[in-house]
Amino acid sequence: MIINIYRSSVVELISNGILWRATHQANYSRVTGNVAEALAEKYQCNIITHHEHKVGVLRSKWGRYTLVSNGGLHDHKAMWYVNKFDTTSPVMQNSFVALQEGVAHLLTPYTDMTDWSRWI
Amino acid sequence: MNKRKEILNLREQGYTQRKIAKTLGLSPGYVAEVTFGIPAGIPEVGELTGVKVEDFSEVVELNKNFIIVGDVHVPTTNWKFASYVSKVAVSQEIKRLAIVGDLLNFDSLSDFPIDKPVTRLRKELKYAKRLLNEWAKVFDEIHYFMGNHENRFFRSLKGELTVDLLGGFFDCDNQYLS
Repeated sequence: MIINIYRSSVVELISNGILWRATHQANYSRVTGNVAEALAEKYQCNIITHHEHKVGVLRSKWGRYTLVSNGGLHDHKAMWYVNKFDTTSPVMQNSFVALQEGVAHLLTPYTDMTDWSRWI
Repeated sequence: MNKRKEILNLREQGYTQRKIAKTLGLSPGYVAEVTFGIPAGIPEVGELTGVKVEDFSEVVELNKNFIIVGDVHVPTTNWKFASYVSKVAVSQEIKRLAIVGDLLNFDSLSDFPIDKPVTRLRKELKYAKRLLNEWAKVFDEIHYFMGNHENRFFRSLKGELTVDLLGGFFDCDNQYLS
């Protein structure tokens, strides 16, 4: 098994000539897409964010780039600090991304969001 | 060559931001971001040659189709959903995986006050290795980038030990890259 390990938290992926910046950024927002929007404006490219544990696909404010908030593979029910107290924080959400021919497909366990018969 | 390097090379040659964007087929905004604060054709300063400064802004660039996962948070992982990663890779014939941060929790290295026994590091690494082994069966390439939870590892070791050591814990033939 060979794993390429990087000190960086950012990777630029070029699929079918289209640039995507996938990042584990430091910032968080309760509003899905806010952080991705700011990063798209800063780096002028399509963005896939992590760290926020929320899912969503949207188009940037000025219509130039696609923003993906990639949830995660975590199980929030198993996280003690998440369940210790009630909070008004958003519920953590799962997803991963299939980047194919320049298009980022967000795949979730939510059957009203992902049609799995098309994928497996 | 990395796109950022290409941009900076042209900038050093005296190209304007607009000319770089046109030459490389990039958006002017992206070029402006990379060249922010760098004047065109900055002259060599003889007496400063030999001074080496590490460039932490360099970004890894990879090509082709990928599956991108993050926030796996081993061992508090949705293992059933995680198994779908391999299933999609096989059905869609995607051979590259990018893990973008927080593969592990590193709870035992957390600075947060602990009020409940946490999973030991040894166990976390064992579970992570098991997951990586599963993914290695279907992916030709696995690229692992760091998140804030991995930072717990580096912080706890005060920068003395590096990312190649982290790979050593997984007992894989890791390649340490940047």
